[in-house]
Amino acid sequence: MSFSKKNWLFLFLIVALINSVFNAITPLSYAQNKGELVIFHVPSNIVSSDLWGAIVSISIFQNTSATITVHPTYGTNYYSDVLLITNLDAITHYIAFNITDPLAMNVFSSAELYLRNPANGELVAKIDIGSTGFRPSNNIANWISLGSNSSLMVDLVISIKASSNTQKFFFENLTLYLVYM
Amino acid sequence: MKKYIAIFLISFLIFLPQLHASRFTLDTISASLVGQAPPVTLNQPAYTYTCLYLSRTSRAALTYQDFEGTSLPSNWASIGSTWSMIPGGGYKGGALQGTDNGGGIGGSTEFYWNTQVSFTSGSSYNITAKVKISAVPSNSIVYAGIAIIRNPTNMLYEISISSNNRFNIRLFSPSPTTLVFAQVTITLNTWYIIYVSITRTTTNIINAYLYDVNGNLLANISATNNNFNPNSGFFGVDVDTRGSATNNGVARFDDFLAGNGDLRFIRINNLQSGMQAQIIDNLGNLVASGSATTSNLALNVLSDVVVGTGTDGRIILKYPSGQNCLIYNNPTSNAILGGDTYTLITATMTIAIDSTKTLANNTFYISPSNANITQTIAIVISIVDSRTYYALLNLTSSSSLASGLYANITLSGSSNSTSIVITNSVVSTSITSEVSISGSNNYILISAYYTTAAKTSTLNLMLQYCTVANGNGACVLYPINLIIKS
Repeated sequence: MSFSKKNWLFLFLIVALINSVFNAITPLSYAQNKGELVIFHVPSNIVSSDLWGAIVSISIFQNTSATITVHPTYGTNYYSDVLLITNLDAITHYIAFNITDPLAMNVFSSAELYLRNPANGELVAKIDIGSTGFRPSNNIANWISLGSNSSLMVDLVISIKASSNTQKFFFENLTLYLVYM
Repeated sequence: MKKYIAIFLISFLIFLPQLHASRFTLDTISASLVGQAPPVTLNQPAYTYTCLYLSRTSRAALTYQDFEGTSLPSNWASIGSTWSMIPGGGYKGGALQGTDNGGGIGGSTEFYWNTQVSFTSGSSYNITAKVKISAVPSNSIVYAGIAIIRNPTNMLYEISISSNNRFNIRLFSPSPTTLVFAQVTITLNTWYIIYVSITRTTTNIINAYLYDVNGNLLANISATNNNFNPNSGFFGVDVDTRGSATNNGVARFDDFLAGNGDLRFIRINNLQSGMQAQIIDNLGNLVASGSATTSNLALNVLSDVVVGTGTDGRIILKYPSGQNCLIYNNPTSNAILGGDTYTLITATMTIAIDSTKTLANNTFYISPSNANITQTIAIVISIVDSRTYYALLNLTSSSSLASGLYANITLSGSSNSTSIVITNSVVSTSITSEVSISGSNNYILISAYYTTAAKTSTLNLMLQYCTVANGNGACVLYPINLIIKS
């Protein structure tokens, strides 16, 4: 079977198309951390007092990995200023979140991150962390702008179903990735 | 086929640098949520009823007069003497003053309510007044007290204190005769309370009591007399001077009340067991208070039978715990009087608190008019944790308010917060101030009324409590729904 230039071109275009679609839809599958352009901080105004005298634990590893432990109860639990996201770069980056291990909706009636402007407290975006997927969306055009040397404050807001079916002493994990370009 | 695969892989490798161009970068966030029992729980109040309104169901008084203002009261008449009003000269407010000129019955002088009362057989009346002797001419005796005057006005019974330290029942027919007296110290310019009952059978039975202004009994005398048999008569006051001078004795009068029931008490019926009641006059003074051991309560108001200065005043009903249940505001056009009977209307709350004690609904009734203000504990907030939390209430925009609703909602913890304020169904303040809460004596307090009946409002409140003051630390929100009806 002979292989013409036309066939070469056709195959080339097919691979290019697959690549572009692949990048657009599932960029994280291939992304890498190449540096510390957008980093995490523990907010300077953090108040770590939690229910029952527990502590809101926040630890940051190499400025790119944050681990948070909270102790909520039934009702809507609001943890303000649990994380600060800062763009150290000289250019604007666009950020999104990929939720890979969401909070279980059999326990939570809603679960969100509130992103606020730390300068004035203005709400910038709400990020649903109750299901897997990209937030605000897969479409990069909808990603959140984070200007050079700017920051976003993160609040954790979760509502736990007040139901006898909800065990009060549950343990739930949440994992998500901050994605930026 | 191998060629195609090879071509595909070559193409893929061509584009691989683009895939590795690191346009997307990852930072990782992980969170652990460790569920806790609620440190703050919602509970129903100890008393699951509300007080809707108090209505006066009977009045023993036929007439009352507190002698306020500068003009002599209308529908009163005098026989002899000079009668005048003394603003500020009374027990509370003004007083009536009489100066004897000897021009009345048997040389005394009278001022009376100019409405005939029937004295048929079996009729019974009570009359009370405060009296004090203000001036006594030298070498004379001044009598001052209550006059029960026959119609026509030429005879009377006088129940009086006298400056010769007596408490008397005298008959004027028309010359005076002392039927009975008790020796008692009478101090000039000191108020005394005379309370007299007269019952007409085949004769006139008079029982008279003398009290100090605190209601302590000083003397009790009785007389039976048939010297005059009126078909009708008048009630009033009198001053009489005897001795070297027969004129110019001066006396003052206040809190005149006449009726055909016991005028010493105000009765409140249909109370819940253990409820407390207070009668407050228009000047803010506590006149009487008590606790109900049955469904009825009698409050002794002898010290001020025409409560305050004879206008408005309040009756406050409280739960057995002492928390207010109702404020009854008497209209300014009327007085709270000894001998009044009031009946309380209550309604049962319907409270639903879920098993986690973090959701609450309370449906209850309140007053249908501005004459009564319903006050209640809607929800009790208990802190199961030993710590202090910082809480406030927020009225959410999802609330629906029926017309004519006036309400104040307050969070009571270590102190009372400022209130959520609803005025004629318009929310002027939707959030309370923050108060610290600990222990189990924290409450959502409601003070409310509608201007009309058959209204329903739904108030969707959010209780917020935080681990640190000023909304800092971990904060939790509980929904609390109040359905308020009239």
